[in-house]
Amino acid sequence: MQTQKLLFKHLLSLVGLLVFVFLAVGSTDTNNSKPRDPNAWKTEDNKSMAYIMMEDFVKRRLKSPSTAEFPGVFDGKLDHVTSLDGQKYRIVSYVDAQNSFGAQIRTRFIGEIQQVSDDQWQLISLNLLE
Amino acid sequence: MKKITKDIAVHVFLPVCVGAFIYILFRKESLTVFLWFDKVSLLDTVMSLRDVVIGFKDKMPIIILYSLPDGIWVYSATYLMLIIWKGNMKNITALFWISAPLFLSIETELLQSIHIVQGSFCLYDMAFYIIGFILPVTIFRRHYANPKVII
Repeated sequence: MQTQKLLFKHLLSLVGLLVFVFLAVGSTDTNNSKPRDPNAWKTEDNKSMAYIMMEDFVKRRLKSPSTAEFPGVFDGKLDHVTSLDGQKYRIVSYVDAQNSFGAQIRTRFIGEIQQVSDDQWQLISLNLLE
Repeated sequence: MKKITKDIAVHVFLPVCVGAFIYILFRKESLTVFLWFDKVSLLDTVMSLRDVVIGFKDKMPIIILYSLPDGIWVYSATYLMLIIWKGNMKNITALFWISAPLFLSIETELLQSIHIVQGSFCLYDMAFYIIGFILPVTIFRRHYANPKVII
């Protein structure tokens, strides 16, 4: 009985450990064994990244970029992005930031941005509607 | 028995889920787990969830994204072993199993440093492994100061 109980504990420990090995295998990167398709970005929908890249361009035009606050995901920021042809994205959104007098004001902006490679983006147009 | 079930839920199952969520929601899509999701037709759902939290990714410290999940898993695996072996670290067999998660993780990390195993060696990972081992041992000992309680 005692041996059976001990055997069961060993078995349970082994199964438990194997579960964690399974988790470890799942967390390995396949990129090291299989190179990423260099043209994958051409067909991916990168709305989120488009918004993030546009944030940088908008900040460059603000008087006080460090105070800039863009809408979050729960404010529906991804709804402010429209996918166009050729990996172009139109973004109609807003940013709250301090003006030169220190007052927090909301500025609306309309812009278009294009993904030109896996990790490069190009600003096509940007209008800040003050 | 009830206490063990609660302990498994809080110290084993929950940390596993937290670690898994960090991987699934914030780490690269080239991880093997995403191939598995694709095979079971869950990839779209997972990608939608990733879209929801994408704004938080940049705000999360790298240490949380890359080192914490592994430390959490060492924590839960160690705690599971402590429950199975009733925290009896004086018994060599029990000690072997209880310390197995720590040594397996450290061994993997060391093998990464000599490029035998995929990944890159990181001292933060090692620190999290050690914390992930010491913490459950300490918590378990406090919980079960009287060893008769868990039988």
